[in-house]
Amino acid sequence: MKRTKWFDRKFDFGFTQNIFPSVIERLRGTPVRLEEKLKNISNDLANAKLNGDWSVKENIGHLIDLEPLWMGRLEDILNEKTDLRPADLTNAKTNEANHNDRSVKQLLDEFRSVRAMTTKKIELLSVEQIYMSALHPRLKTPMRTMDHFLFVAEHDDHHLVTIHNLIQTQHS
Amino acid sequence: MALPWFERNLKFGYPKEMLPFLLERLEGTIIRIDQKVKGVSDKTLSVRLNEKWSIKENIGHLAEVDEIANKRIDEMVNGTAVMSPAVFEPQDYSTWPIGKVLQLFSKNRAANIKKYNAIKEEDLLKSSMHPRLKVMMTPIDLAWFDAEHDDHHLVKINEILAQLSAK
Repeated sequence: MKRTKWFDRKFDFGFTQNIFPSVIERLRGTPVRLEEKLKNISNDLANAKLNGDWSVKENIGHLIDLEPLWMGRLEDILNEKTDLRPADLTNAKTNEANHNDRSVKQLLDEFRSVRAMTTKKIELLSVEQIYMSALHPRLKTPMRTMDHFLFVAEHDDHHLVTIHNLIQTQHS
Repeated sequence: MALPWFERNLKFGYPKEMLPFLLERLEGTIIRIDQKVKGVSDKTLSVRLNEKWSIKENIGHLAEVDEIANKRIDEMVNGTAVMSPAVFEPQDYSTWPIGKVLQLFSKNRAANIKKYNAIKEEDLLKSSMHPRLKVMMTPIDLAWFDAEHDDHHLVKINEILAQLSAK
């Protein structure tokens, strides 16, 4: 089945209701979803790079690498910056990190730890802070804190599907 | 606090290329619930705070909703004008061991994911009317609707756990 590419994704941030509790809940659920998906994965499978794309480990590593950006963007919003800081669209951090040198468990543990710090911080935000916004540099649209973290949850899902497909492809 | 589900404004019209992500979300709910109730006593899982649904009833409700969703997928693909109505009041799951409630949810969810995966591409954008919302929904929209509904109940479960641990 064809799937939408990340950079082709369209986001509708026009909703006005406070759905932030559900968004936090989604973010909180990603570590255990990854752990469940990878509980029996072999090291060879987790290291495999198909067609030069990122391996399973590099996909997890990428989620770890981006967490500081997500938190930095939260700071930008709370500090009333006009624009959110840009992402490195070349993903140099992930490409140069040698995530394949680490074990799946180490990567999953680190992701669980950084994500727990994120959710711990954002669950304390006030309603006013949830509705504060700044401009997303690539999408050129204002993003409220709530939209920003919905974007993060969607990004998590994108990589969960990528990992799922990597495993399926190699099994077949 | 979770926004009441019936007050949620929901927008549909998702492209069919979003289905893999939605199925990933739907599948992920099983382990998210498992993790949430792991180590929680049967007594806690059966408590009805202020006459509201217990944790077991929240999970059982998701299992019952999945039975309706399974029927609704067929109805959309077969061109039924209006989909089957929802179920609102879950049966009493308090006498069920939590493992049995989780097993029911997991079985129903797996059946739905299998059904979604078997839909022919040309049928993915067929639509029927949702009986309460009075809007046309495709199988993709239903998958999104159910993923959002899962998150709503996961938040409710968290709230119950937090209230009980504060007592």
